[in-house]
Amino acid sequence: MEYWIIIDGKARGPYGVADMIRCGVTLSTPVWRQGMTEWVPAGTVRDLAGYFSVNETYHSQQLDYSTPPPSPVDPAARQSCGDSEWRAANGDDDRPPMPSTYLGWNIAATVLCCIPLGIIGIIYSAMTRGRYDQGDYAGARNASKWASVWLILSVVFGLIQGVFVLATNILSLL
Amino acid sequence: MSGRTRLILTAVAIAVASVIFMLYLTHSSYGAPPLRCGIKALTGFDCPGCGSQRAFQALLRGDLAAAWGYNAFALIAAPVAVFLIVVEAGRECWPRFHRAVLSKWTIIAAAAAVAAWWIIRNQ
Repeated sequence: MEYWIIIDGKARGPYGVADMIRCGVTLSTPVWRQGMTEWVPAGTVRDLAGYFSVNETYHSQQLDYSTPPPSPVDPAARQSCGDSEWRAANGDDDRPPMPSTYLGWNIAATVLCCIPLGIIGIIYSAMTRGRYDQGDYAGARNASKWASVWLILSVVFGLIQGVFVLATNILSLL
Repeated sequence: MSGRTRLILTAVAIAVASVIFMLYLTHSSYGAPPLRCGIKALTGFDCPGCGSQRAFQALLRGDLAAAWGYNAFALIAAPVAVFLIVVEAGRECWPRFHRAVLSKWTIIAAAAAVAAWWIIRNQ
């Protein structure tokens, strides 16, 4: 799905989602795509909802709908946004960045914390990647969250055990 | 630096300091025995992490052979884990590299390696 955007009062596009976000689109940036009757704030487009951070605030007063939608879309009008090197290095696919799988942390926790809970975390790492590859980005973020929850659990239980064992060791020395 | 970043850095610093302090406290020349793994005490089986403390202590002494004997997996996994953590920490800077490194097969291989190590060492 390709979008046109209005940034600095100028309509630009069409862009894939990844490019659009890189152009500095915020929740309140007017966007338009084929099939829409008018410009709408990016924050109200359902397909874009997953791409914005939750901290972003919504400034409806900044909206400017004076520019009419550029229709029909002329591919020759495509404008590049950002440097071409970034594009060459990262490709212009429309996928959002993959959430953290916490694989490294979970391996470290499994090896260091004496509590093999990190293995459950590694299973959630695999689920994060699997769902991401299926295009289930919300599911991937959820699995990523659970990978971090099991990481924290293994560290917490490891610390509790460490304190307990340390205490018994010290008592045995007395 | 955001508050969250500072919090994470502080937590990491405290964790690293506690690990070094624990290693020092339980160093064999200091007199105290190494910490016994609770899972081992409970089940009688070595977990994937059992011996990692002694392994890293041996490494601090420069005794690579002893470290290998205590927990060979920990020695291999530590640099791999550090590499993966760095790749994930900078995943916004190199999204494609992140996706390539943290592939489905990397994760499956890691899970299989941990499981295999757990079984092999209890044979």
